[in-house]
Amino acid sequence: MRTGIIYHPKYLEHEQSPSHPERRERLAYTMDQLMEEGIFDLENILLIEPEMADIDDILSVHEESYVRFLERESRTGGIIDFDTSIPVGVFELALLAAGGAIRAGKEVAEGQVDNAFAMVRPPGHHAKPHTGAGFCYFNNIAIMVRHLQKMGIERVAILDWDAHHGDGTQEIFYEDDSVLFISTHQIPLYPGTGYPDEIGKGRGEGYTVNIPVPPGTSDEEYLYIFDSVIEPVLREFQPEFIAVSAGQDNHFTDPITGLALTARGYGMLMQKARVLAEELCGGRIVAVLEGGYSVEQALPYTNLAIICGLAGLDLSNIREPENYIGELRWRKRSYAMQKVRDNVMDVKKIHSKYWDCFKDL
Amino acid sequence: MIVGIDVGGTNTDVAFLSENSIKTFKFPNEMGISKILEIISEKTDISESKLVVSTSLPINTISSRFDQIKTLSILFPGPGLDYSSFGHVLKGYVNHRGDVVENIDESEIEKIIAENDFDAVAVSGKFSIRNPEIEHRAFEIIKKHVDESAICLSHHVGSINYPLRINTTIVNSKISREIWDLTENIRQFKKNFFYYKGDGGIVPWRIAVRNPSELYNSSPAAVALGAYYLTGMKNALVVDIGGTTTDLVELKDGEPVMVENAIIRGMKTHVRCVKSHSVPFGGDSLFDGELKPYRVSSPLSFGGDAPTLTDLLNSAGFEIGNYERSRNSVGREDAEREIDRYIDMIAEAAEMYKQKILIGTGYLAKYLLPEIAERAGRRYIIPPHHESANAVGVAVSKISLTVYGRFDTEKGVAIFNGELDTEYVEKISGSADDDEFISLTIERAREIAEKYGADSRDIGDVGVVYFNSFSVVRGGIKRGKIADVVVQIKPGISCDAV
Repeated sequence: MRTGIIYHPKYLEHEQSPSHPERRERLAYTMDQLMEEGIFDLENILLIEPEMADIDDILSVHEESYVRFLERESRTGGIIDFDTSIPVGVFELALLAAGGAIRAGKEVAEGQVDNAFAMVRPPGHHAKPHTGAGFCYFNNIAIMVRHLQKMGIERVAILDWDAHHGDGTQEIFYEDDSVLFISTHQIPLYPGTGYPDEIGKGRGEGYTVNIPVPPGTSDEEYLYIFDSVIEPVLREFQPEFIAVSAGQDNHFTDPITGLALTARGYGMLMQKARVLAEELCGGRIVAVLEGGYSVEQALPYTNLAIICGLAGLDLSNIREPENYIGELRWRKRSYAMQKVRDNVMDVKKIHSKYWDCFKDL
Repeated sequence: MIVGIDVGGTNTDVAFLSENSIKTFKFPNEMGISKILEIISEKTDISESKLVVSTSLPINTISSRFDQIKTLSILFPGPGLDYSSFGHVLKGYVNHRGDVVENIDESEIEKIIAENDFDAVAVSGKFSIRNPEIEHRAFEIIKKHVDESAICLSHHVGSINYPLRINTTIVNSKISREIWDLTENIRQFKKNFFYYKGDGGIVPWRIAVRNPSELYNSSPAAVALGAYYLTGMKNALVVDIGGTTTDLVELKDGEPVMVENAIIRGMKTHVRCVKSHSVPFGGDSLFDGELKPYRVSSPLSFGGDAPTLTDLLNSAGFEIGNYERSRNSVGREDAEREIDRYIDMIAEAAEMYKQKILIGTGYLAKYLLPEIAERAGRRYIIPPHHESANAVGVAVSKISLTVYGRFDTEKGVAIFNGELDTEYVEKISGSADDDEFISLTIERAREIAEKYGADSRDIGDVGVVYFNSFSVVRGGIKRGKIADVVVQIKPGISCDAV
């Protein structure tokens, strides 16, 4: 088995401002960790340097007027929303991020690697057809999915476990039955969407599945959601390809969310997803990096955990250093499991209309 | 005056290099380094000279005694991949920022020392190059039980990549004691001297003893640099016919071709050294009906008690040493057949390289290389002093240092470890820009080189090998900057020799 890591040194160049949460440190520290672990010396890891996406690929998801707006503003600098500015030169860097996701999808689809992690910046899942938002400019994962469909892969499942709801991705595929969008995310939190009754529309009705979780949700709850909702729906959908919007901001040290997932939890989620992909679609799975803002304490380990989960590496030593454990105790909430069970029950009820696996409730 | 010494597999070569002359000498290894230094001291005042030593001790130890020397590998990997196959995993962790985020348990270290039987200790902590504190604390405990010269710490290896650093530290631990002994012997004659590295550069002994694997493959490196110096040929294949092996090293644009992350006894390491191809036959290879790939004694013609390749050359008509003794032992027909076989072997190896010119070095080059070149369809040069080109290479090389600088302006620290003998930590100003980080590291590399006696003309050429910097933000506020800088004073020919 071989895992591709898609990375470009230019991913370190994007910066809205030095103090913005979505900043260079996110990947700089991760690369430190990966280099120190000797990840790139492993025989089953292949480091791949991507190129910029073609405008045609971007236009398969985004409206031309927005793409032109971003291109123009990127020359002088501009603004999209209160936490998404347009720094000079971001257009090319956003193209490179989308290109990274496309490259990951292509490498896996064509069999050069079995699975891949697109370790890209800027992230993408809040970007909608007509605008960027929430640190995102182009919707990398959606652009990859459309590219895969052009290559002849029809049914794709997107699993979005970023702490924030992937509202951009949801909007793009809301009326599409060829793409299943499953998202689990914290509520209440930006962008404020992602309630279980958002289920898709028209042909896409039932192909959007939202499972909100409360602050304090930890490993056990996430694994429970995977087993009780994600896995059965994916089995029934029978995807030809699985794409994961891998946000690492569920970690208990993340400063802008309130969840309590650990690095090991991330590794286990990714491992489960990879094993399921092996069973359902010849192992074709790509993780695309979204958020994750605990740049010092979590990102280096959680990204490592994602890679271990994909590459089938031993997870037993993916753990938290002793001095961080105190924080986990503060973050974890004992009532989270009960709330998650209730939410899962609601989701199953709502979706029993569309999915046989929830019929017998 | 520069004195270059190369302790090879069978002989020790010495070169005296002064403004307008080169003198070379050859001694059998059996004499021992102290005796050889004594003899040299009679010929010249070493205290007034620059002394550079190349030694194949590491290679010899690695090839013959590697498994006999038992290393206790102590690891502090913290969270991450599983390193249990690399040694004993103990508690304690430094993160990527250089913060100790998990303390060591001293009793764990005591216990592992008490329970195991070993000759040397290798201590490797993840991210120790960002903060060596855990390795130092472990060292303090271990040295109560083990001689310091048998303990190696991974941060002295200098480079990022933990598994490779563990392997390199294990290799270091196996050769450390012998390098220390050799160093002590040499220091009886001269307090400060340089060791010659496998990449053709030289380092102060104090730095070499902390990361002795850098001396790996230094003999072929010395030969290559010597051959270049003696011929001025920038592109050629050096064929060094030694006592036990014949080594091929390629010169490209005046530099020997290098291998990064050399694999030593199946372990990938941080060692960067000359790329050489070694054929296990040389002048001292035993003849017992056919040539054997090992040495039993010196040639008969030099007082040995079994015939060797050198004796075969005498039987075939040359007159090397006491040639009658050779001819009495081996007949011409046998000799010619085996010489032919040897020449074929080397010619075949030389044909693997694209280089059109062969440079012959080693004592037997003038007898064998013309025929080797002819069969390989190459031209050849045999320069003066070819028999001790290795020692000449040692003498003409300049200092080469790699310095790994880590700046963290939020913490107000600059760490220069890598190959240094102490961990420098100093305050730097809050808002340094990228150029400042680079020039500070270059400045520090030059300072260290000069401190150890390098000529200022030799340290002008400092290359930036790696640079990365980014802002550190805590609580939404920019608090400082982190920068990693790796610079190298490049190996090459010293100004004294030009």
